[in-house]
Amino acid sequence: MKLEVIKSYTLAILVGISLILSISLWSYSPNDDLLDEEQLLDPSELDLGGTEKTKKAIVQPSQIIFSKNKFQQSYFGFANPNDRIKLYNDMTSWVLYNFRAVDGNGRPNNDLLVELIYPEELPMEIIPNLFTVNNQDNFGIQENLSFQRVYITFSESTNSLTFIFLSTDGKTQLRADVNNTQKYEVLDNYIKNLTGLEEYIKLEDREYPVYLPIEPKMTYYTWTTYEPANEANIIKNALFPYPKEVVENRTEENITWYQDGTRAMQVFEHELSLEFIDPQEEMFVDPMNTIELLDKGIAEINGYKGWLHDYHLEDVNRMNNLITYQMHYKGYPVFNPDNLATIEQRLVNNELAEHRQPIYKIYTTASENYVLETGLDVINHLKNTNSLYNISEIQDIRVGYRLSYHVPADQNAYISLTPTWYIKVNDIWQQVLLEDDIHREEVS
Amino acid sequence: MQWGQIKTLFILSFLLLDIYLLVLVIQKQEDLSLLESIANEQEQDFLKQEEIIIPEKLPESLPEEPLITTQQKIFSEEEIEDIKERDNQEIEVVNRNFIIALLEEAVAIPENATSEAIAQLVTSAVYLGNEYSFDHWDQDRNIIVFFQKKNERPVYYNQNGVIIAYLNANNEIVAYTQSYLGEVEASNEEKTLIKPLSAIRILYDSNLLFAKDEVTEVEIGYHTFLPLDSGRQVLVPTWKIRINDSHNRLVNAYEQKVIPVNDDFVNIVLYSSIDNVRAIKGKEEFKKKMLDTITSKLQ
Repeated sequence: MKLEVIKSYTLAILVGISLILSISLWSYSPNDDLLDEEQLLDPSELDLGGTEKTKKAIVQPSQIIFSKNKFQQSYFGFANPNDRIKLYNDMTSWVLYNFRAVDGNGRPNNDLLVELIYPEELPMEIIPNLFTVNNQDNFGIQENLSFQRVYITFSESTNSLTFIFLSTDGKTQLRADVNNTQKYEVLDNYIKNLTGLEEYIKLEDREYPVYLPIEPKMTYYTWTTYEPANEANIIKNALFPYPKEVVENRTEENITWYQDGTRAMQVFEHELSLEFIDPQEEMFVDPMNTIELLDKGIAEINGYKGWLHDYHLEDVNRMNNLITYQMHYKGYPVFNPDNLATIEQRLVNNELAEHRQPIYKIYTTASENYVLETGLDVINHLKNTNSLYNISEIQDIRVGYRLSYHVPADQNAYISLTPTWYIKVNDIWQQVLLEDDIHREEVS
Repeated sequence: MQWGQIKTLFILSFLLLDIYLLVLVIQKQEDLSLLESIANEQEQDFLKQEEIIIPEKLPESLPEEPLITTQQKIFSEEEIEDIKERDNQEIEVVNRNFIIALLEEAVAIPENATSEAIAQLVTSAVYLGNEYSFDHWDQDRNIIVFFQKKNERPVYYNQNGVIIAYLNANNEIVAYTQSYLGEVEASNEEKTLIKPLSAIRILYDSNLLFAKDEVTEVEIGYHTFLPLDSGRQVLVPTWKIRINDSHNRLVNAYEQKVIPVNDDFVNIVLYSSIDNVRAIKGKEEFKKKMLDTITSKLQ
């Protein structure tokens, strides 16, 4: 009898040991201190309330020009830039067949021509990211070629279109066809009936001309903004690796700093914009190509749904890995010298080294009619002998909005968007000061 | 009787099961420790391959430690009186946080003096001098730089916790300027520090340490990217690694990240010192002498 009791106890103990060993086997894992703290944050603490964007949506041409060269040269562009964006978005879904590289001899001279002009040189490798390419395997192109202008020619006999990506040196044309009658008719219809288009004019005769609308119809807008809420905190959560350890403080100069001893983020006056800096050792920097820069840069902002406004790629500076995205409103670019209309990112060795971004959110919008100087006025002014500008140095001209703001005491910011002509000289956008403006500036 | 046999059978089978499980557990642990030792060896491998020499005795691995913050100290009236009570020195305190002193008699630095001897010479003569450690003697400008210590570790390149001693052509100290960081506060969260060898590895991976280089010194200290004049500063534990006895590299000991060294540090301190001297009211002769001394050190 006694033996049976001992056996029972032994059995119980053995069962217990087997349980303990099984549990320890299953749950045994080495200490992992590198637990990603971001995962412990609630998703709402990493959501700025904007959108996520793709390269396709960010990289947009700044102009689409329809030109008729048969009897007399004439140029047309969209009266409403939103129509341009709509057409371009449609184009990116057109299937491009039969890619082939042809020795180029500058721009094509067809009677009817559609010209897409991008704000920045883009590597040819990016084409499959922007357009729909049939059978990507055959998309063989020489490396180190880039393009800024794309021409679309019409083939009436076959009702097909040919896309010509012209290399920036003008020596290579990368051609592809669109065999789709429906799409052919879309462009054909625009160029023949000019529906929704307005007339454009060339600044001067050049191989790659700058076009500007003759009579742009513009509206003056004002925005009121929401009271700053949690925006800076959300971006802090997204950009700092250990957001819970970030120390926030306000200096005597009323600047809010977020810092973890290695990085810092500064929120500017009235919480309209901020700047993040993560200093990197830059003695040896691995060069990144445009596609890598864009992928990494866009992913960073998508990570916290940070596109609060509509942004298009404006510039990729490969010299210092700086990407600039320009705010657009109603399809027009918005300009502000204090970084209230641009997002800037600098990447070093695949890390975000600098980031600047506006963080205000638009609450209400009001509009008024506005009469802007015509394109002819601007050309006359620029060509005037007293002009401040050398016409051959002008890289681009755009109609856009000049963003200015004021913040009344104890209220949220008011932002106004004044239609304005801008020119790009030495890679810098500046407002065209017409004589009236100069006069006004002098008076004030 | 049957039940007894079944029990025996169960006991035997559970015994076998337990032995099997035990073997599994032991194997798993061994695997992990083996992996660790392989990783350790691999970590060392690059040193052999690239013929990089490191000090025989690296500092011990350090336990977890909390993030600390500090702030530039604002001196009280009593402290300012205490600061000014120094023999052979004419002392001004600007903004209640910056000490400027002219020596009435220049103090010569003996030839072939060790860094300890120099440190002793200066730290004994200044306010709370034992809280500073000798960093380097900039022979080009002829100034000596001391970093303040917190928790017995130097705070690297922080213009709010530094002494600069100005030397004349005869290697005599003629003046010094001093800033002082206040009490530290520790946060609740603790973090593990990387080992000194991992810090060396990061420099190698970042192309900052090359084949046949020699790591001449490895030291733990603190650093902040943002030494704010007002408001709190976050001090991060930082490995300072001296290479070929010629230049220093800093590695963040929390994150395995190289911290760029601010080459312009001395100039920044000198310019802010000049601003501070200019802020003194009256005392024109003192100001002039001090400005002459500092501006002669600008490069």
